[in-house]
Amino acid sequence: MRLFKPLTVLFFLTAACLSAQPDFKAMLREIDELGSFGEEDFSCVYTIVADKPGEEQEITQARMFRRDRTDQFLILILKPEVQKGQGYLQVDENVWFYDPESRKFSHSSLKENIQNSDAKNADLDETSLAEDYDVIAWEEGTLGSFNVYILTLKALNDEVTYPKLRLWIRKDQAIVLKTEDYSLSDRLMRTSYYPKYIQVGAKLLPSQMLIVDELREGERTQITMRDATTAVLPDVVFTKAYLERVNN
Amino acid sequence: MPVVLRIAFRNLKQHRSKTLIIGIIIAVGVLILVVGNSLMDTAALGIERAFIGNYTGHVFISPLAEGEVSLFGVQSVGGIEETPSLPEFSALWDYLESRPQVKGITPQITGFAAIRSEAREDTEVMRATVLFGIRPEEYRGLFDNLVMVEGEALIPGEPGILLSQGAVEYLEEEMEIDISPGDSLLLNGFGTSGFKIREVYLSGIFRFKQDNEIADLISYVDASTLRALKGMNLGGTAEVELTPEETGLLSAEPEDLDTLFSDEGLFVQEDFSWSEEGGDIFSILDTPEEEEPETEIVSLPPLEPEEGSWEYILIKLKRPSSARRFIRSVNTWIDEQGIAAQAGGWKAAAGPFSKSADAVRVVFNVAVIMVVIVAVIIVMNTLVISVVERTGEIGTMRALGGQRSFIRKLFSMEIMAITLVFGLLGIGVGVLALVIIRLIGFEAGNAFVEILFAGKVLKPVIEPLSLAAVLGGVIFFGILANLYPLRLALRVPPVKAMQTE
Repeated sequence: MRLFKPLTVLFFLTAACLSAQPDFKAMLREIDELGSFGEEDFSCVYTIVADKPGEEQEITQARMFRRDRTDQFLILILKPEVQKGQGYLQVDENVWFYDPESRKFSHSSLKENIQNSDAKNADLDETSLAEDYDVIAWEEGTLGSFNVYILTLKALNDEVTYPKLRLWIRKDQAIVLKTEDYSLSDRLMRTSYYPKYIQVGAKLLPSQMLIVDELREGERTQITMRDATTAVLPDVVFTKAYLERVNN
Repeated sequence: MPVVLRIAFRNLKQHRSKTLIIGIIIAVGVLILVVGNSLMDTAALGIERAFIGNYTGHVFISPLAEGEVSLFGVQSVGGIEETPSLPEFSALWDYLESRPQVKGITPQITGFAAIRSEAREDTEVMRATVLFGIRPEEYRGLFDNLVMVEGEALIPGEPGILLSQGAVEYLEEEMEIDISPGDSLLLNGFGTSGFKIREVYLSGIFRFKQDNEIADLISYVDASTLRALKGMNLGGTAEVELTPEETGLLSAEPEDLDTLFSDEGLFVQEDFSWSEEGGDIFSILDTPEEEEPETEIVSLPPLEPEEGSWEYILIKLKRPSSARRFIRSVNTWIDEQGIAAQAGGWKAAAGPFSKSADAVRVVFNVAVIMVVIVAVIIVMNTLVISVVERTGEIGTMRALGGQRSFIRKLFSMEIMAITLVFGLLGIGVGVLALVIIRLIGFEAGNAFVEILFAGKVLKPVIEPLSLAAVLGGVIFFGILANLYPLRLALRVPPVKAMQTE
């Protein structure tokens, strides 16, 4: 009987520890919900500045239209002049790229980069972390003045942009402060920082992002949001016809 | 017939079995040399055909860049970057065209694109391709490398694309459609001004006369279409005015990035600019009139059509062997003119693709050379032994009054006769072996071997000059192999030499 006592204590200690582990799946769901507009439409202007060593800064300004309830978005390039009117449109499962010069559409995807920056189409869209990833490891830590959970996520499908992620999530509120994106071979590809958020009703959206390319030293992209609104958008915005018409 | 020659033949006849053994060894050595030389010549020809004849030329002129510049772009840490336009194109062109060593010259632009078909816009299937933007007539004059399988070659001044047979087969299979000349294709490209889509008509389907590692990756397109796809001759992107907030994060030091989160109070942005609701969503691309005069647009001046429109100049020389000297002289001229360009050879032009093929060729040549060295050593060794064995005979000849020079001449005659007869026999058998190899037609399993084989099937080249060199070499080395042991044997006093068994 004496032998069982330490084992019993160990068992209960382990159980206690396990029960102290937060529900990370619920945390991911909360993150997804905080960044998703549900029934509301959302639009804003993003300024994307890509810095590459030895090259001229590349600047893109784009208006983003989102309708999360139907998984639709449109990114319409406003500047520079040579790309004005180009657009990325998500209709159902498809993402289309439109070039007004040739008046042609072409298949694109959420995984593709926006122009020549390190930002991907998926960076500006709503997230579905809970649906696409499983938490395979976690630890506690600090990031700046915030106490954070550091979660390691593994993809459940191959439709995601990166098969493995590490997220730094605030402990007091389910907000992502930093992410690391890994390739299938476990190589760190990008690190993203989200130092500023805006509150839109009950929703929280990053208003500033910094994406650091970990493969090409010195390459960074900053995305800044402005002119956000939740005004209702006409249905026509999320159609190919709109992209063609807005360019006339 | 001189006495020496008569005695030499008599000696060879007398030592028939020994003559035969030495002769066979020489013949086998020559055979190995002939076949080995031929295979090396074939590999050299393969490289020449695969790269120089197909798309690099002997010399290529490119702009200066931070990384190594090849026909496929600028090699950088992160991959291949776009090549800047060739500066002072007209001056370079005029200078190169006037050089007497130049046989032909053509300009080129290179781009990358994904080919899709409008007929199947619902599919994500695409084919990545390297686009060579060319001046069709000049290019054809320089590189007579294509066989049109279907359709027509590019017509000067008209837009169009030539796809390889492999690319068309891939698209047909994956998209489940038929592709034929005249069909419209979409090129999705990326250049200095971002993503572009261009519609282009398929002029023709080709295959390379000499296959190469990247044959199916290359497509030929008219230069205007490629320029538009790459956004060449368009202004830069510096026309957008930025606020400090929009670039603030970019200047943070890498080690300080985590401190972006040090001020909790600033985390949720209060000073955010919200949009006024409403507005016409159909006029959001219109520039408000009052904005224009206030913003100073800093954009690149448009480039002169000829000045900035090409990235490379490819040159073929009348005498390929003079390529190095020519490159040196062009680089000196470029330096004197202060043009930010450079001249390089075909290896520089082929960039990463030449390195692997060249490495395989070097390994192959080393293997052949080693076999040849072993054969030469065996032949020389046999000759040395055969002379040493005849020390007694040499002593007898000297005792009978034979002069040293006479004996030297005699032995040289003997070895010349053996090497000539059996060398010719070896060459004959070697050529026969090469002809048989040609007739059998060994097939190359992959693109690397294809380069070594100078084609899909091994057809070894037989160079008469190379055969003559082999024969001359064997005779020379034969005499050389004879001289040293003969010198030793002649030093031995005749009486002592005669006692040698």
